[in-house]
Amino acid sequence: MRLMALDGLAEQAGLSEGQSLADARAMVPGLIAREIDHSFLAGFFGAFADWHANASPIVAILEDERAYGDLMLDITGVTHLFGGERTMLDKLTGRLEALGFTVQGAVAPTIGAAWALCHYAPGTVVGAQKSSDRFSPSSVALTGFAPPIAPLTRLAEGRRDVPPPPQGHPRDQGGGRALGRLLDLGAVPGPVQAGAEAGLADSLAPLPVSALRITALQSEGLRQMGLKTIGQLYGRERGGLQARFGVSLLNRLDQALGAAAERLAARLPATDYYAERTFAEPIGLIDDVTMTVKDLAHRLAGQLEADGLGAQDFHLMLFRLDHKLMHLQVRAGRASRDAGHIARLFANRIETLVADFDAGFGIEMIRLMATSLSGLEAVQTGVFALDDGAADLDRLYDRMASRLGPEAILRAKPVDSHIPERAVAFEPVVARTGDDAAAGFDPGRKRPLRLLPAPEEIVVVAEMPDGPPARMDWRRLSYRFVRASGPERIGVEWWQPGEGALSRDYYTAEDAEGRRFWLFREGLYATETATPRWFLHGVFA
Amino acid sequence: MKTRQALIDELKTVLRAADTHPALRETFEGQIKAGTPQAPAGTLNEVWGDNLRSGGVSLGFALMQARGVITGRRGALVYLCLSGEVRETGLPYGPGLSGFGIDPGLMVVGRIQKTGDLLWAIEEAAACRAVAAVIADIVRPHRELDFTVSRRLAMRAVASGAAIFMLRYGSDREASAAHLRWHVAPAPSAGLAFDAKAPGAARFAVRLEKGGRRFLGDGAADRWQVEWTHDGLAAQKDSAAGHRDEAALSGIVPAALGDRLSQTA
Repeated sequence: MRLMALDGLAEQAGLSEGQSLADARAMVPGLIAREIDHSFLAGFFGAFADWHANASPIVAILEDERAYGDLMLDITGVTHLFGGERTMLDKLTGRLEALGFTVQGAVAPTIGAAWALCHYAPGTVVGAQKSSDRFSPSSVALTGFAPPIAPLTRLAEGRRDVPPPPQGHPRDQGGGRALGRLLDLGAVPGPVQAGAEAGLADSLAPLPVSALRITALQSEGLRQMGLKTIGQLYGRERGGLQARFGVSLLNRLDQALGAAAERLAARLPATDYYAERTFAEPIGLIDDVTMTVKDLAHRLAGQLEADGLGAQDFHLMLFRLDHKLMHLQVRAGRASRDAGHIARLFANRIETLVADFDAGFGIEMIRLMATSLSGLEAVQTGVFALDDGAADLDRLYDRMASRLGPEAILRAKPVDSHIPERAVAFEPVVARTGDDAAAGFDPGRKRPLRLLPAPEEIVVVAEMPDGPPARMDWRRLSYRFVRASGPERIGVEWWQPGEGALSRDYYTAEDAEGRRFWLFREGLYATETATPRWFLHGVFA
Repeated sequence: MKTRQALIDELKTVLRAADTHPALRETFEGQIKAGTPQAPAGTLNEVWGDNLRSGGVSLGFALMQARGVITGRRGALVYLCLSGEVRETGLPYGPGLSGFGIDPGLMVVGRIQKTGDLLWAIEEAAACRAVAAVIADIVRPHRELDFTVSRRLAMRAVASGAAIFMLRYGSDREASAAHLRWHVAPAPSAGLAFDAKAPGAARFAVRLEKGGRRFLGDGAADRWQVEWTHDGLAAQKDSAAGHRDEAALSGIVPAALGDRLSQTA
């Protein structure tokens, strides 16, 4: 076990990250160590990252093995809303600091550079030579002309009543609660503007090589060769570096300098079509949320209609005052822009949440987004057209799925397989896929009306080991069969996983009262097994 | 503002209209007299069997009835059950449905966690004008399924014109306000024409326990022995070894096909 994060006291005592716990215990006998709760931290951090969607639509978490990740925002085209990159960075870090977190951040044109500066030169802002108000968000995306800027925020949870950590060494001051560095953020990569490149290389040059997000082994090797800063790598022969340290080093270097592309995996969907409302006073009642959604749905529907579009996925984001984001999603079976329908889907969804609904200190902003867009032109209904009700059905399925969950409303999809339980796959109605042309149900085969979820083992008496069943015991009751037909032999699908299974001989058997059962003997007598087992698989009408 | 009494009177009128339902009576009479019972659209039906062991028969009967109310405009079937009870009953099986004369593509299966949600889903599905029948498979007794709730479902069925079938098992279930209550039990089949030892076409012993008198008057038949053949539901023939072992035709119940019947006689 190793130390992942330290508080100020531990640091003063001379402990360091990555040290083994046994060593640390020997140095500081009274050490308080806590095991990291990764899932809790990931959830906490994820909620935190989502909440930053109010600063930029593209927020991502960069995984980091040492800490818990970095929070990365793509702030291309949004900085003017905050009054420039420097001000934006100050605002973002400032509001986190006000919450008692220790944060460090940086702005840079590439993800790699932002990461490096955030970790080793926090507070740096690079690549902001153009006044950002000259670039509207759309022109950035289209021309690729804008400097992509990433504020890198590094957080540590601390207590407000603790004195600020020494400069440049943000640490958990939580008196032994070693939560440590929490987050890393990633930024959107983009083409680097020529003018900014020189400044970027210069600002990275003095940083240690480990700022390149390379492995400890690689940075140690570089140090042994005397290559201690990133600047010393510039202009080195690439072939030699690659031969010694692998292509990943060059990759990281290129990514940091913007010569290689790197993408952020945004946590939340981004779209051009959304409607949002910010409240002067935070709201907390679920009914108010429902009303707002209705209103937003009308605005969103107007946007979609103007462009002749419909959407299948709708996202509702509730931004809470206490920096949590509730993200609800509903899916429609067919593209829609009917405001009433959308609002109703969310109303159903929210209704099921009532027990879990927790507005915290209130909701400050609600955003409704539409994704999975497709063209949807207005339709003129003919006077003599026969309405088959398919649209009504789809709406019904949407409503049911929104309240009961998409996995609850299913359709049976034929699968090309002889094995009875594989011949049908249930799939959500709202996310249906086309039928497999090779598959289909053959009505000529005798198949039961109900199929048990899994074959149930039964005790069967047969006149002959390989003959039809004469009696069975199922669920502690005994049945005597007066009629039986079979067997229908179903072999193993050897091209599928589970090929070790045995052949099955299926029988249809009817007891004295007229109940009909579908049961099978697993394993061919004498050739596959000496003691075949019997299973009940379904019941007929 | 209406007075309390006025509201109650108004409600009574609505209820009376729903209960007498003259159109219902007409269709029902005609179908029953043909010798094969058929529940009309716009009714709440309770279909119960003595025990879960005969669950296949209850579902089979409900499907037969549902098939009878499918029309060109109302084509969909909705099967709803509680996910906690699926282990015991099993879900409707697509290939089996198509052999039974129901196109599996028409049917949607809902596995629902909570009883309250199940009731909501029944109501919601019945209100959709493209749904012909809702089949709710409820194994155990549930406190939420009281008389008031079933009354509400009955009204919903009348208002929307969809048929609702509640499949119940055993006698300790709650009272219900269903228009029609059917008791269904399996009956021994006749065997196949060329293989007397093999199970033949499914047979049912059906008893209309409730609703018969209201809709048909005293003395009307309330017991039937019916058989499911490839032409649809048929009154059971006494002659043993009757029918070919064929899948039922899919879709709307066809007119009896003379040439086929002559071959089987």
